[in-house]
Amino acid sequence: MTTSKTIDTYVNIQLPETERSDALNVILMGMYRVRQKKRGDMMMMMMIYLCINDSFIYMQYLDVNSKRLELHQFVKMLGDYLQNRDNLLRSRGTLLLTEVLCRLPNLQLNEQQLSFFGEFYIDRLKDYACSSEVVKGIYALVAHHKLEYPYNQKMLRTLFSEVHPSSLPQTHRKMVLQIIDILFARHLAEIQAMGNDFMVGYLQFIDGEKDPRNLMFSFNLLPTVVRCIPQYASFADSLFEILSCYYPISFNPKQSDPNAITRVDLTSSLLKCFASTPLFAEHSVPFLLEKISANVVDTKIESMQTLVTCSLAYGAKAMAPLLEDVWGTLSNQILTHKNSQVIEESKKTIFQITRQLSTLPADKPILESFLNLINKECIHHIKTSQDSKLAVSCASILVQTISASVVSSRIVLSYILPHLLEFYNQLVLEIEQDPVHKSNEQISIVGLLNDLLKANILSFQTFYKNHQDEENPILSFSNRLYDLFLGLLSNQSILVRSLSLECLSNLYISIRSHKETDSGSSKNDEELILEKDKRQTIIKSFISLLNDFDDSLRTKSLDCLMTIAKNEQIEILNEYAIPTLLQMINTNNINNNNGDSSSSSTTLKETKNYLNAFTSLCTIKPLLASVMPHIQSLLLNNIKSKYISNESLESIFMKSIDESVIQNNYDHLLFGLISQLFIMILDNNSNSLYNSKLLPISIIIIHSIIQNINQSNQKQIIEKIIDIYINNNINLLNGLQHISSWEPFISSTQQQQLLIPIFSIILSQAKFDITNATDLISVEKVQQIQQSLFEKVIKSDISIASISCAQCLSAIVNKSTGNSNNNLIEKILPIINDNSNNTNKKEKLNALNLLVWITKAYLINGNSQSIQLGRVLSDMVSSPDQDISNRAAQSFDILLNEVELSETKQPSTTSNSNESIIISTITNLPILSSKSGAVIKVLHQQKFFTLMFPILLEAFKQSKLSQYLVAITNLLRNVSKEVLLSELGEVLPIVLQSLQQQQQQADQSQNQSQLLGSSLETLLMLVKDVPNSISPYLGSLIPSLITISTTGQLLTLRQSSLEVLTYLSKSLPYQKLYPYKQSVINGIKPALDDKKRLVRREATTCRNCWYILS
Amino acid sequence: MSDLSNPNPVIYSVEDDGNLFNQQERFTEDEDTVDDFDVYEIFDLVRDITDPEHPLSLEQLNVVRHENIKIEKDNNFIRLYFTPTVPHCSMANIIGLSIKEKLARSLPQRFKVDVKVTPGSHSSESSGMSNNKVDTFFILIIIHSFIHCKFIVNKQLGDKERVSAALDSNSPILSVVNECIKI
Repeated sequence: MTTSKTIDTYVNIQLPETERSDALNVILMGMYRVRQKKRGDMMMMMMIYLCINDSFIYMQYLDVNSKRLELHQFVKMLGDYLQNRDNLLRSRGTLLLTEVLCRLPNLQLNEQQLSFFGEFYIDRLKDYACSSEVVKGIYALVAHHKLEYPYNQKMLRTLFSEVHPSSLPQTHRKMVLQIIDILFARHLAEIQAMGNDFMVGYLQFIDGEKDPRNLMFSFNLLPTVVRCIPQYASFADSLFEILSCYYPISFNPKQSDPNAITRVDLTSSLLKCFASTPLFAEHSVPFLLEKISANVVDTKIESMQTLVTCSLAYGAKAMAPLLEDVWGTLSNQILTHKNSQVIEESKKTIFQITRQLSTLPADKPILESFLNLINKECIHHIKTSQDSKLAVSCASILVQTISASVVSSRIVLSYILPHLLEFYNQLVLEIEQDPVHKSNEQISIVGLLNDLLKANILSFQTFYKNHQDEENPILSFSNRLYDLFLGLLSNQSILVRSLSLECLSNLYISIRSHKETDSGSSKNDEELILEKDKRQTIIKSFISLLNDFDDSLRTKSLDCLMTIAKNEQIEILNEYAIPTLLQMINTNNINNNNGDSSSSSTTLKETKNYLNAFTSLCTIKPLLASVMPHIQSLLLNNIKSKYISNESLESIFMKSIDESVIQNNYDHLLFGLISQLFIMILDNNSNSLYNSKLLPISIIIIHSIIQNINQSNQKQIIEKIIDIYINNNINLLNGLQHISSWEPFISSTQQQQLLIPIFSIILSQAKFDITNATDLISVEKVQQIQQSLFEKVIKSDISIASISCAQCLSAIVNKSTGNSNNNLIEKILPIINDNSNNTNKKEKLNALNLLVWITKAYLINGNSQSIQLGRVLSDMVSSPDQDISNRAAQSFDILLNEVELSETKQPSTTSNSNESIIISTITNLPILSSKSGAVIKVLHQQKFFTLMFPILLEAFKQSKLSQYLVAITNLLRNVSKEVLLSELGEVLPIVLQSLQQQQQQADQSQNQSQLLGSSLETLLMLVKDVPNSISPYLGSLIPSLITISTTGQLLTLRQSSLEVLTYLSKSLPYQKLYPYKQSVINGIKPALDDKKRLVRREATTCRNCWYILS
Repeated sequence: MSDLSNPNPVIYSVEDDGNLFNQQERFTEDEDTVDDFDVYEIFDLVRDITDPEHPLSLEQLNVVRHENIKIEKDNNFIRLYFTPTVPHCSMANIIGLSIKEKLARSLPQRFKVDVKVTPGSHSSESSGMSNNKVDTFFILIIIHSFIHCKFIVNKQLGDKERVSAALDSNSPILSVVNECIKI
């Protein structure tokens, strides 16, 4: 088959597609072969083609492969078609030539050939029938070859003049854009020479484009055009007109296409076009303002964001004439629009524009004229429409402009402040005439001043090089403001007082001039606006207000004091604030001691207020270090004087103490505290009430101290404490020489036993393995200690001693690396299992408690014994002894509970006896935390849970004992959500079953309600986290919940079942809930009349939630 | 914007919770003590209802005050006066309706609740004419705020039939009321 025949095959549109593409391939092969000298490669390619396309035509080609197909031969052969009168054949012919150029990018063309093709295509562009083929050809020519001077230009001109974009398909329109893009990259000069002609053609071409792919390209090309063709200036308006059609972009791509162009892509490209030249400003800004005034909220917000970006790109000069309109539109939005989002965005826009305008010093006049507009309007509104939304909005606009930058703050404040102050004075004069309204206005002026001060501080926080050393605009007003606010502190209105408090603190921390500093660090004396004596007056008045009878004012003054303390130097605080506070605390203490019973409750309260303030101040680390001695003396004083407000001091230790702070005075502090405790407890055969309050707090403090001491210092302390307790060497403590019978581990007097927790807490916090620290404690000693502890655990009749010793043993076991601890368990088990009557119950329970703590120790350090012990505990749940069974079931909570010391300690609601407070304090101490040096294995909880859960589940299924359910819920309560979810299939039926059991059982013993409580708790957790998994069970769940909420015996049960119902209504879809709506609404009616207000409140919330379901 | 009857209401600071409401003493935790209904509890129910025109609560607008709630425990009778923000507030009816409905949903049925405008605070509290078509009135209120002056707020709220018709499940008013008492 000859080449001409192959050409015929390709051109003939009636032949099937495959044959035609084969023909094309043959020609391409031929051409390729000509160019490629290496015959071997060629043959390889042929073979590959053969394998892929089992087509006979290639076989033929192999026969004729000796023939060479030169380009000029090919064109000659094609000649007929290229000039054929039939449109179709002519276009097919052109396409063939184009395909050859496209698919053989390496085709080497000489200059003559190039100009031939150039001429040819330029000529052929006029041929309407084959325009798309020609465009493709030109693209190939431009992309793969380098055309000489006139052709590129000529081609583009003809392209613009002859080809109408709408006649081309999408891909070819894109090709034209690509051609322009390539020409920009390679032949910029040629295009620039076209000037206006290019712009005209280009504009025509991009107008009316709709396909997102082309639009993307077109948008991305536009900034280049603007950059390279200076003549665009005269076409800016029409260019913007074309662009603005697309704004705002509303385009939803198909979800399925991962490579699809998204709306965000288009929007950001369009935004770049908008921002590409300042010449657009006069068109785009009014356009955007119009869009901002439109009705659709999304459009408004998007337009504002666009406006911000554009104004940044355009620069101040271009924006200057438009700023009045911008302000007009934005202020209109802020003052009249309802949607808070729109208002917020408008404010943000004003803020951004102000900031942009103030970056360059040269733009200052423009900034000034803009801000003056705002100032005038705002001050007008503030003066005329006091105490209304309008004034509030204006104030917030001013806040934005002030906080934008230091420069803008200066301009605004120097205009606004005199006006405001004058207005305020006027109000004061008029206050007689209309006290209610005028004082209201007065309040809002003070509030406004406060906001302005705050905004000014904000503006000083972001640093700009351009504004270096800019003076604070407040400076010249500082004295007037100071006098005003200080005077207002004695105002009769609480609101005014608290506002002026805040103003003063803001004034206090205002700095003199704009410098680059770390924010938050304390300022030098010269940096602050106010002089030292004024600052001290402020602190003084704040401290006196700390004791105001009004709650809000107290917290406010404390907050302000904190703000000041964070920014002030430590020396100044120590010089004035701290001594005053301490003096207040101490004088009250002394008064309290004098025993004036009538005033004692009020002074107690006062002291508490001061102490609280002191505590809060101590959270500032550098300050804390310097006041440590004061804290110590306070602490000792308090113990001595039986003064029971150590709670606040306790929180100092819990929250703010760390190693660096305590390093230097630990010894003095700790042993001072301990000796005082000894004296208090041993000497005074005083009331147990006092001891029971003092002890837990002191233990927490000791715990925090010892936890934060490093290992080597710990060793000294432990050595000493062992000497005191085990060697009975009480003389080591000062002032206790007279105590003769000091044998804590032998004596059974209450006082001596009460002191044991101190020893066990200190020992348990050792950051090393005590059993292996032979340099410190000999092996025999260790055994003696362990034995004493063990005996105390079992024998002691004072729970606090027993528990703390158990914890201490647990901590020792946890850290011990040896295997010497097994005998402990061997000693415990017989005691628990002894069924003869000669062991008393208390000892059994104590032993069980120890077992639990030892298990926990193993559990945390990942020892495999924990599971064996877990099994033992699980067996004990089914013990016939009710107490043992209960305790064992509850123990799973202790096992998995990871205690963190936190403020949100739940007040124990069940019983408030002193005993239980002490016990809960002790159990909740983080004995085995990483900070106390415990050996902690990662994911130990999950491991224990996955192993233990099936054991308990199996036991429950076999025995049907409700105690197992309690154990399971205790287990569930402490595991992470992920683990819980994986076991959901097992957990949920159990919870539902227990709920229903309750419903049937008429009598609810205490035991049962406990179980029900924990089921409800689990259920609540599930409803909050995985509501959808509950939905299949709604049918049985909801009636049970309704029954419990109306007939449950304990108020907590009724309350939490209502809570579950409320959460259900909030978290499940309407169609799931709808069938139960009426039954819930009617069912919980009795709960509305519950005798407990707590239940009623929950019922009200629940019923209202169900009412408004939709 | 123009159809707001009070575009710039005075905003009052919300009373300090510590003194009245969430005090622990009011919520006893033992099983036996009976907590009686008191005015604070009633006030707690209505304080968070939002004004139909503003995103503000009735407490913030000073529309309801606990001083204006009377409770007669023996007769199971509660009387609540509310004060519209401006004397001719067109939304008085919707506010009253919202209060009434919220209380109906939240209180046991034994209570009879009477919701009224504080004497002297509303221009249309006692004058006007009656309207036999039950529902139209409330719809009109929503659409045209100015017509209301001719009707009686108190009478409207006292008319059981009218109230129940307004809160019929298909009524557009129900959705407005639900929006107001949403938690």
